Amino acid sequence: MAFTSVQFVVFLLLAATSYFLTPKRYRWVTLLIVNYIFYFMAGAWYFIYLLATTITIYFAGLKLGNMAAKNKAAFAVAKKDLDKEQKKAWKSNFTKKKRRVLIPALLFNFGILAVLKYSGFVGINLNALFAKLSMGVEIPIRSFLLPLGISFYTFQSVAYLIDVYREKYEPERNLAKFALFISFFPQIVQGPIGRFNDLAEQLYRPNSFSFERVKFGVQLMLWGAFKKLVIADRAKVIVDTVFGFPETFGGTYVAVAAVIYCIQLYGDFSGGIDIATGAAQILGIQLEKNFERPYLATSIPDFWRRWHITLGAWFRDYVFYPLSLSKFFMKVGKKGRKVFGNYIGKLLPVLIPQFIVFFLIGIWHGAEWKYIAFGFYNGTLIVLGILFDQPLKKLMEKLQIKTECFSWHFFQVLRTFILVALGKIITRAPGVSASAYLMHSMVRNWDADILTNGGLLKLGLDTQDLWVLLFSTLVLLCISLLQESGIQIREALSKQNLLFRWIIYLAAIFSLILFGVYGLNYNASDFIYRGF
Amino acid sequence: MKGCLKIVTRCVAFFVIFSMLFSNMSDYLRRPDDESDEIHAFYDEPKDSIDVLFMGSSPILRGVSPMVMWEQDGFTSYVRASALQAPSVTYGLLEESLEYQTPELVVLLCDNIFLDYDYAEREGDLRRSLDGMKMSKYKFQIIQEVTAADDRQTLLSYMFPLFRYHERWKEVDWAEAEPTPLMEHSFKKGNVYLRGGDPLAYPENFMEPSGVAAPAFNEAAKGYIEKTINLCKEKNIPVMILHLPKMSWSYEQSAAVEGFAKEMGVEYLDCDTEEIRSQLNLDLAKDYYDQGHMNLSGSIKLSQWFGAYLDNTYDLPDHRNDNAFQRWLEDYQVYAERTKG
Amino acid sequence: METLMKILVELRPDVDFEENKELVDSGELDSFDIVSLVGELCDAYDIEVGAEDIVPENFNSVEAIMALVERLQED
Repeated sequence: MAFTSVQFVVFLLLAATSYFLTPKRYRWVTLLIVNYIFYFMAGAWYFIYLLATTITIYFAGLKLGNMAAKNKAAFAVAKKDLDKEQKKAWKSNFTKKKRRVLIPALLFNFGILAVLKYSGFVGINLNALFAKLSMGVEIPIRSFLLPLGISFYTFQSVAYLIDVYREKYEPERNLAKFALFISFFPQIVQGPIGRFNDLAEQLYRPNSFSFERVKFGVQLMLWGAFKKLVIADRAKVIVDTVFGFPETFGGTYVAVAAVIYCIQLYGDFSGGIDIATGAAQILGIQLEKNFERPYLATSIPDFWRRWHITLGAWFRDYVFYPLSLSKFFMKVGKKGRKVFGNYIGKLLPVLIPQFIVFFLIGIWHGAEWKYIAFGFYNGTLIVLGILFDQPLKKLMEKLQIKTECFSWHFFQVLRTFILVALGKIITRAPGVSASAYLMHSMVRNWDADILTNGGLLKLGLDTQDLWVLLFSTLVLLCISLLQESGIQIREALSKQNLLFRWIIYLAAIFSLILFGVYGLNYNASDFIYRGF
Repeated sequence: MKGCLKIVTRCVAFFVIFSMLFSNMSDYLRRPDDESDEIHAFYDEPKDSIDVLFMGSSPILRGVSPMVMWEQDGFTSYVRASALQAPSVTYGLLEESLEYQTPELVVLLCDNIFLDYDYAEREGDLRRSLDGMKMSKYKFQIIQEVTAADDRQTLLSYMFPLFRYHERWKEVDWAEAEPTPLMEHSFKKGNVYLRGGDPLAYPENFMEPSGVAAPAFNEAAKGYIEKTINLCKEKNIPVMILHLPKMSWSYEQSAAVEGFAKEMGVEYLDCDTEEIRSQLNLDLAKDYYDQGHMNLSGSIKLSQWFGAYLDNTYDLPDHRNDNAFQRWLEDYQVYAERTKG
Repeated sequence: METLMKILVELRPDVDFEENKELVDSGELDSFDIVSLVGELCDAYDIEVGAEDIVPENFNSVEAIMALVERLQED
């Protein structure tokens, strides 16, 4: 059920109505049922995977919680008689015990994800390798349909389990409530990935109906739909044309398509997130922020703090910190200082885990080499950024470049955007070699004339569509700049006069209806008599 | 409570303004279509004022002129047809029409009994009639059938055609645009005539036994035509199956339809038989639009003959001196004016 | 406390550690700073900091960092 479909709107309407009509005590039960209906409608078989994750994580969490409680009590009694070394031993002993619960649960759940998502990729590459070595072996390859939102609910529930393991909070003791936590329908499709200590309470408590919230929620959904239907789906036409025919459209077309692909991707993804967030808000639940105007970032690390925030935070908390603070990398750091000197040595425990994180983010996006290349590209940029941070600062001081002014800020934003757009070429091109070809062609066949001589009209959109795309992107940019300067759009709007507000609402709704890309293409010739 | 009332009032007011704008926008962006207009103008005829209903696809739409028959024979009729109409649409349209009118006779053109109707291919043709129909359970049933066969077409876009034609903002010249709501009243009573056409000649051995068997009936089409006829039987309305002049017709097809009519126990009239052709006296150079359709002058000739035939055969009433039918006299004046020369 | 201040100033000379009580939440310290800082803390105070201790509340102010160090020293 797509977020921009009528079915979703109807579903949400029914879900919200039944939620608010349920007696307060049982509202969370209604929400769980609604979630499961939503998930069931996406595919009955997928349900098994969701249930498997729900049950394994629930019981593992419960076990860890009980172990921690027992351990705490026992430690409180034994504490007096233990010296520091013994305390340490007690602790590490207990950690080992906990790991015996944690690790199988992680292996099981990531195993499902890995098999479903990556077995095809691994199989194909192994077969290619065997063929090269002429070993005469071939692995049968099965490709699986991915259950709806499996990456998202797996990450969300694993975060919960690790937090329970770290004794950050108590486990959820009610299986149905836990099932609710990892199946909330607006966010199960494409996030944001929620944290138990933030999201669970909001789902369990009886939210009451608030007109204000519903209004804000609907507004956000409209805005999301605008980004998706008016901007992203229109931009898609150009992007598909250029990347679909790389031989025909080289040179400047690649640059145009890369920029437009950035717009498409952001419109599509953040639009979807806005619809999810708006839908949740109607039910009285505030989801975590997932985008913060990423294309206004001033550096690549800044970009990754603003793009798909909850995924970045997940990798930071559950991959980056554990790795870089592990004994192994601490040792690497110490050794590194001896070998490479203080500056680089200190950076090693940061840089290597950072690279690993980007490798994982790369393959998280998809099981293809190009995503690995994409991860590598971002990792390299960040590492270079860190390595050259200090020398560049010194250089700029010498050249007396002012950094506290608009022009410098603008330069930083532009530079970051260009680097990001280059990265997007890697992910959008059909393969790694194709993206190399495209980038090469972009530089070699540069011809800015196409921007003015009608060359843009060859990309599948007519003049009017190009104007709509340009204008709607400008609207998006203006809104983003307002938000960046600290204005909260919906709050500010609610303080305006009724007439102005209604004009804005109606303009928004009708621009969606008229300019949205949906339904069958209207092609006048379809309606011309073909035989009477 | 007071705050609650305020919110409800505002929501209602907003919805009303939205609906008005939406309907206005729909009228701006509607795809102007004669056939939808004629289908829609049917609702303006006073209840139970129509004596004969003509149902079916383009030959009857082009070839039968109720106004000619009215002037000559005095009975009222309406053509509720559209080009390449699906038999399911014909059935639904008749069901709906019978809610408004109780005719003395239903004339059904069902050449498309041989046709394998592809809903996915024929959206434009479906919309010719559906866009003109008011929302009703009959229209809903047709849409259900269409969307079940082709999931790219949606119920919503048939209920609110703006969702289908929204992209027409590009085609409309906004400087001169005017809202064009569906036509309210028709002076030609559903007939959409064509002018001009190329001179034609009958194929060799036209309507002579050729030894080539007629194509089989399409089962789905036949099913709907049977349902259509049975509906009339239930309501005690006589049905006539009509075939109008068409050069791609054959002796075997005619015989097949005749057999079907006999099976259903209804009259069959084939205007392509030698006997009727000579009575119609159509001029191959002037009266045809193309191989399968009359042009305006052909339709007048045909309607004169056919009106007389119906009047004699079915003993239809004459309302020409009835004050209640004053509007028909006025409509005829318009028709005569428009079709002159 | 002095040792800690020295480490912090050396790490990020541009940050006002005495006044800022939202070092992490305001984005002054990013994950790289945290990891470098933890490395220094481990050496200076002979403690072990695990990933479970890396929460914003533990690093938002100098006092919070000191409290974390003291807690870990006791363990």
